[in-house]
Amino acid sequence: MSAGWASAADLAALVRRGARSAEAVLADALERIAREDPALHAFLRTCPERAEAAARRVDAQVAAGEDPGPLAGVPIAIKDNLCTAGVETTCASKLLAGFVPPYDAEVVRRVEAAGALVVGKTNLDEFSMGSSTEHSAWGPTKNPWDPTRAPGGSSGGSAAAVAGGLVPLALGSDTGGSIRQPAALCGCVGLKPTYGAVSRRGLVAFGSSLDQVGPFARSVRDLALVMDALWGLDPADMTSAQPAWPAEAFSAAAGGGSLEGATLGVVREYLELTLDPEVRAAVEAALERAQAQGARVREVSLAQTALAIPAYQVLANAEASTNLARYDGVHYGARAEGADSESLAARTRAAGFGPEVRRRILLGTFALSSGHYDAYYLKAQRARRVIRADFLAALAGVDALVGPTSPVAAFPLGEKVADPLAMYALDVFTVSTNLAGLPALSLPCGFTAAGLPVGLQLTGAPWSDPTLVGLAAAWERALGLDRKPRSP
Amino acid sequence: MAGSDFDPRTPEGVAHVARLARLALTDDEAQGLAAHMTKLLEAVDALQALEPDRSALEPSPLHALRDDVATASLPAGQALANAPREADGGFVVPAVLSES
Repeated sequence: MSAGWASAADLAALVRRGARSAEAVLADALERIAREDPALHAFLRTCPERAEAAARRVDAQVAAGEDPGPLAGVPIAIKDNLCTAGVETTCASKLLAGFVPPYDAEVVRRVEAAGALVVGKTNLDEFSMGSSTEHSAWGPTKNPWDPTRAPGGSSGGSAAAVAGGLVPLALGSDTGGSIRQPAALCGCVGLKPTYGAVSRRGLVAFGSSLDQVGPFARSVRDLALVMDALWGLDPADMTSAQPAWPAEAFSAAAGGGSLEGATLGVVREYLELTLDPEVRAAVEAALERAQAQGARVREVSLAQTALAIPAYQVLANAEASTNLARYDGVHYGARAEGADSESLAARTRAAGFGPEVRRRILLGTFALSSGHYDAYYLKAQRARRVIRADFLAALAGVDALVGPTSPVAAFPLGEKVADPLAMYALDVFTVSTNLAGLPALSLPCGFTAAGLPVGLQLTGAPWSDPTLVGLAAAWERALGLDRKPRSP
Repeated sequence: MAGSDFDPRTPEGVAHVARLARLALTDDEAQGLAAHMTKLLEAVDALQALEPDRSALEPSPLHALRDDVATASLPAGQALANAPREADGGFVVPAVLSES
């Protein structure tokens, strides 16, 4: 069985009972990446030495009769904005070329502690700023369903690595939809957890009040397996929380979820937005399937929907302009010499940041500047409160809000990259959940006539992440889609 | 240009923001970014219907902070390992004081 197309659950079961060695699973994955990835460019680099050391540890534990953990021997890809000790971490930016972190992101530590093998670092829009992975300094990732199309972004490399059968699992980060939108466009499952449920230590910061780390998988069961390893308090992250969930809450939810009796809310304002007709049709068909399984569907209102992208643009970029101030040519990363500290920083940043990052830093700096702060930053914070209240009211009478993850399926590479506002508009269904700190999951729900996957988004109340996973597992069973873009 | 007296939709205004952001720009880049800022500020105009409200800056339950507890920091050698230039256990920066 190939490590690429096998499920994480099946691979871990084989390794744990000694039927297959972690080293053999890894060799298969690395061989597959070497063969297949040049056509996708999902990976920026692999780290075979680190993965081989982890595989040997797992195999030694199995030989000694110890349990190496629920992700034993499962290859996992890591978005290149998550720090990996001893392995270059660039955020797909020239500015961080050659940066080797001195420590692991907490999520990397946790998946390795659960037995997973970190095989490499995946491509992204520079510093996670984008929705297509075309803003990578190292070139775009291709969509496994059609290599002339974008995988979405910013975690497009992680989504393509999983959807293309290179690895069963990947980690990404989601500031305004950067896990869910590429999951939708690549036909895999992606979860942005409730803010605080998963540690941000070692995640290179973009918008700190919005950023969350989360997983990609090809099935809800595999997604649950990795979530059970990820969640929980980390004192090193000052906004980390300890959710009141039992151990293995996600695997239990994935095994026992049901749509029967569930109440699903369809957002009235979303139906009025411009939506690709094929995306609309796939989502409506999925809702009919849920109703056939005993779910109730009712219309709800998010009256402040029009404020979401403006508030997000101002707040995410204000936070980015602050977070990215650290790249000054002194402490790490690239350096362009200057006569004084100010010119050193200005020249380093001009040479190191790509055009999208520069645009966003400018907007964010403007929104925080003296004389404009009240009109932009303060009003956007006000909008954020209003949006969260709107969501909490809409969620009060339903188990989840459901709708499309993205207004379009995968679009051709180059189609939107020259028009930043068109790119920002793709985030219309995803940014508000980051503003409100809510959990949201994207599940493949159908295909366009051209065979491109369509994603269904489920959004829940704070800390309802396992409930969402249970609903998604039941929905996945009811839909019964074949989600391989090509023969293994 | 001083204080808040600038318009980010003009090349001069962009140049001012770029100085605040420590970003070197060419004149052509400032021109292009002024056009971008014009469109972007139109796109976020919906915010202007809201009243500015300082209570929106109060900590939200969404972002509960842990206690501030001191822990060990990175050893100096590790902190310097990625420095583009280092000397004598420190980061090298351009002179901030001139000899007179």
